[in-house]
Amino acid sequence: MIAEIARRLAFLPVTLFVVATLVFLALRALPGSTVDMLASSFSTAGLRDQLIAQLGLDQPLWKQYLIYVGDLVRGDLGRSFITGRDVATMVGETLPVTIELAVASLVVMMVVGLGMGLAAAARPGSLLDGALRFVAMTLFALPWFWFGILMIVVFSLWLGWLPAFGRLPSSVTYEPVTNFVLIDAILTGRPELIGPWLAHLTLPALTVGLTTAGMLMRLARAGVIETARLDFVRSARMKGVPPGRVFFRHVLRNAALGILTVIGLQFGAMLGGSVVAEVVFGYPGIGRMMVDAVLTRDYAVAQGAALVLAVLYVLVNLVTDLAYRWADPRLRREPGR
Amino acid sequence: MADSAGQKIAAGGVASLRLSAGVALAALPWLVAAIFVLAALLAPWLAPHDPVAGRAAPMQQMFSDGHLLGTDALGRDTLSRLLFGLRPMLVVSLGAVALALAAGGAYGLVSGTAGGRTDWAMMRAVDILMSFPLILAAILVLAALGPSLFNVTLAVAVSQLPIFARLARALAAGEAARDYVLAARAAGFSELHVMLREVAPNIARPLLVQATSVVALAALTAAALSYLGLGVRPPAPDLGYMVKEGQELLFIAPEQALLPGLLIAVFALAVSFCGDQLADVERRGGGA
Amino acid sequence: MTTRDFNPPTAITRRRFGQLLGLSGAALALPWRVEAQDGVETLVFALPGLVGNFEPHTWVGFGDTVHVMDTAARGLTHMNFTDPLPQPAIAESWTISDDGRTYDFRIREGLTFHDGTALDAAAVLRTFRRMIDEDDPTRPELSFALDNLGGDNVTGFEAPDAMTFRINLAKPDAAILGRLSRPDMVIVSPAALEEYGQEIGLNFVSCGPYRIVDVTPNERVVLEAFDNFYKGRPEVGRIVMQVIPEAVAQMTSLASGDLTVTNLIPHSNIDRLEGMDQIRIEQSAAFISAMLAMNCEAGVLSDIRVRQAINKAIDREAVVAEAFFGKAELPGYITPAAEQGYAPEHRRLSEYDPEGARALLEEAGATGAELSLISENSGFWPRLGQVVERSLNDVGLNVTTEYLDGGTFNGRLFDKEAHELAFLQRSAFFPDPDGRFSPLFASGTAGADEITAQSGLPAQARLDEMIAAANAESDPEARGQLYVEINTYMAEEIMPVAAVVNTFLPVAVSETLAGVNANALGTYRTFLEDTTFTS
Repeated sequence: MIAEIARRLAFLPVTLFVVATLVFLALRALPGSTVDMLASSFSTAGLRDQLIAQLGLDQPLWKQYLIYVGDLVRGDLGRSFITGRDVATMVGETLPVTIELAVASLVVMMVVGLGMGLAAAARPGSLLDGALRFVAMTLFALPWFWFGILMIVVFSLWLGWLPAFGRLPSSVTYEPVTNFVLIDAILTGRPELIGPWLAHLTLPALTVGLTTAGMLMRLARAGVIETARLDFVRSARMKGVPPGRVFFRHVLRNAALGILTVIGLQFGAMLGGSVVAEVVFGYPGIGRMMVDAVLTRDYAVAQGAALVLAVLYVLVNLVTDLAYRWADPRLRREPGR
Repeated sequence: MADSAGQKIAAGGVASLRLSAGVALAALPWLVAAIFVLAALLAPWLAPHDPVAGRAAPMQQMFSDGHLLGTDALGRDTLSRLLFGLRPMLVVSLGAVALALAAGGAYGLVSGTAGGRTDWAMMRAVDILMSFPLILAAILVLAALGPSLFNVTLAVAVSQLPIFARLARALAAGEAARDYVLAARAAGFSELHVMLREVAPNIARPLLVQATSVVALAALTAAALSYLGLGVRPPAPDLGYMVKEGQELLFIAPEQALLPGLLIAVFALAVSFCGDQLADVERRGGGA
Repeated sequence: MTTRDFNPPTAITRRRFGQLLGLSGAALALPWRVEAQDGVETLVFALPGLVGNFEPHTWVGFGDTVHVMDTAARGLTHMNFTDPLPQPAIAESWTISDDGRTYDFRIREGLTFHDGTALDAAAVLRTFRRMIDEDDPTRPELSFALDNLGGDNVTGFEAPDAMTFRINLAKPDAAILGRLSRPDMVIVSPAALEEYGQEIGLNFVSCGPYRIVDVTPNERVVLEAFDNFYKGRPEVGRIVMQVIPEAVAQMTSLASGDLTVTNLIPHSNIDRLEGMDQIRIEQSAAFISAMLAMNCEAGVLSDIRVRQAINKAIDREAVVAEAFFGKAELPGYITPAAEQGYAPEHRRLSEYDPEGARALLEEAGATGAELSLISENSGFWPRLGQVVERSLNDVGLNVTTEYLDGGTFNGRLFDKEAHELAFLQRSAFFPDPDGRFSPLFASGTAGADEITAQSGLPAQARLDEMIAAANAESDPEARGQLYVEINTYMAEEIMPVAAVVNTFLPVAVSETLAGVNANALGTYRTFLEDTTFTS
């Protein structure tokens, strides 16, 4: 298992190198450049040339690329053309927001998805099973952005239960330390932050979590039903092991394999794919920052964000795989693939 | 006696009723999907007005004269725009899945049949593609190539490529280990022959089933791109973009954002159920 | 203000909506509201985004920076968007030499920066020296400030005595007083510059009505009233500028009272919000103009008759009604009615005349010509684009519009080989008439060279002369008249752009607020120092 981790981690730089190169090339293949954005409100031809030179964009592409890779190797993500700030700092501000949202969504997805899946699997073919399957499919089929708007209208506007935007109410002063509100609330001894923070997190997390819960429900249901049919479960039952114990020790543990994979995949997708939720709910996450950076041709920011998301994706997958191996005794014994 | 016979008949009746209700329920998603396709095909005849050039008083309410679902800010008939808006949704979702199926399937077929180092390298490439933020890939494709229906299709297809590549690879690798493939290789057939004539026919069916079940995902991805304003081509109607346009009118004419979103959801739901049924059949067929 | 009467039919009645919103407001206020500090009444302002770097020199767009800069900083002069002339701010008065090349500013006595540093001529000189001295260690890598003040025409800065600051010019430039009110011309504390150097934007200290207390990038800026502001301490004690990018979220929070001022709601919702008890829509003058730029070197567009036909073909009343829900103005030509240089007779330069357009196209042999139009894919542009495209096709052109992301759009806009027709937005950062012409339509600017490609036209030389002459005239009235003539000349002889519509950012404020400068907010400037709570 350690060998496998080492192998996967050893491959990480290759992945990053390819992702970095692809983003670098793709961004420069786009029409328009930062200079057009910077110069758009007041420009003379001379000023534009001067800008291009100052940003180093007059250098040949291979040279720009070498400089970029050189900086990367030294751990320097560069500086934003537009904001003049360190990309690493900007990532440090936006990534925790996205992780918060992804984790909260994951919790919603697991509670709702697993709950519905297990309830449905308890009596396959029953009316409840049918209804839950329909609900799951519907959740999956909802366009996320549309569902988000609907949530705002219902829960913010009509019922007035929950705030519709942002991370904290404007009346609260919050000085970030780690940018994770929960951790900061503990570190700085401000428990009063947690309530408002959760309230603001609820709608976006529900939107992302519920729309992804559908798939998990179907998997959990299928996994449990199929495992329950297997011989070792039957024999456990025949041996008179109490049903609860059979369910938790045998059925659930085996079904967990498939479920774990889905959870890992979905979490990875949430990290990079929460852009839409971030736009609808005005959540200042890394996805929105990355999209904005592409649209304004702020090369360094787009490159930095893409790289960080790629690293996270790989790490999440690695952790999922390890959990998978841990959960499955057969795989644990094998010395890696 | 008579009683029990009557009960039997009644029970039989209930059973057949259940059966036919089950059949009807199973047929429903196919029916809905068919209605979507028909409505899109027949849009020019079904739509009461021209969806683009039509010009009436703007922002008419639902159920107003001649405009069942009202008109938008530019005085165009909402019903007609919804009908024509089905077209890009269907073209993009089906087209993207077909593209991803063809490209990803071929890639996985080569990787799985070849095995060894080639297989390893090809699959690591897929891993890398998957770690590339998908939304970024789609935006890059659209910004580089410009907004057109084909480019949107391409962008969505890119996001689905890994699904098919991985599945095809797994299936092909499974087949490649079987006796008949070994026999074909031993008989001196070329790798190309083995791939196309021996392995491909045997992995086509599960791939097609998978394709059906991701059509919904493609439709949702395409709608999300439109919602972000990417790849849209106004004045041509597009459901995802109609949600975007209608969003600011939520407090004035909520139907303008709600209806197009509802259509996307119903379509995605119907094709998901269709895919589910096919997968069920495939699973049973595979088990038998 | 000319707006067409426009009342869209309604789905939910205004009252019902008000009730819905009112209800939600009450409920929202209850469980999650955390008490504001020390009972100070807080004004909450909506930002589209927040980068968190307030370096005036590298400021690049309309976004968040301007709002914060206007609230936290001030320059030598100030323009309030009601009076067409610049007023004293940090400078209490000024004198202009007879040749129009030397400006002496008298600095107000007794002022300090937010950090307590004295504000004198030396401090002002420190701010301006970093614009012109390329070796200044505090100067950021990309500094546009000098270009925004006048570029090469600015030959130097001096401080002849303790309270006098001098600007020397190569040739007269009457617009410089207006330019000094730009957000990038604000005076920065020399002590802070000394301490933070190039990082001044992250630790910004100036002399505006509010002091920055706390900045959380992407989320909010907290500001506090400054006692030693030149007009005295503002009445509203605390301002929170909160990032709320989405319209739906903004309107929800306006209704709940969580948001007190915003200029980000869509035009379509003005009537709706106006009908609500706790919200007021402020009337703003239309300083923002949308124009259709025509590439004078591209195919049929090189024929002025075609450009004039396009100008006549645009159904501007339909644009106002359909793209702006009635909340916009029919334009004169380049200069909007709210600025000097506008004359009512300019309205005929942008008259809708489809018959005339058809005749001109026929005459030029351009009927049925295929043209491409590029537009941005965000904001009001897609709706505007569709109405304009429809208008042009109605008179027999064959226009296809491409809706592009900002980066692609700008890339093609600034390349005359890459576009034919393109939309252009101008707004007044300072309402000086020169701001609409020198930076955009004088030869040598990217506007004239690349966007409209008008620099090579025979009539351009005269236009360049007229622009230079008008900007050399320092008598306001005579100057205004010269710009009136420039508008007419450019429309009749060159027609490089068609004026489409003039509009404003809708300003919605809480009913409890008075004294909001709506004209400034309507064109991206944020002067909140005169605002008061009435209840």
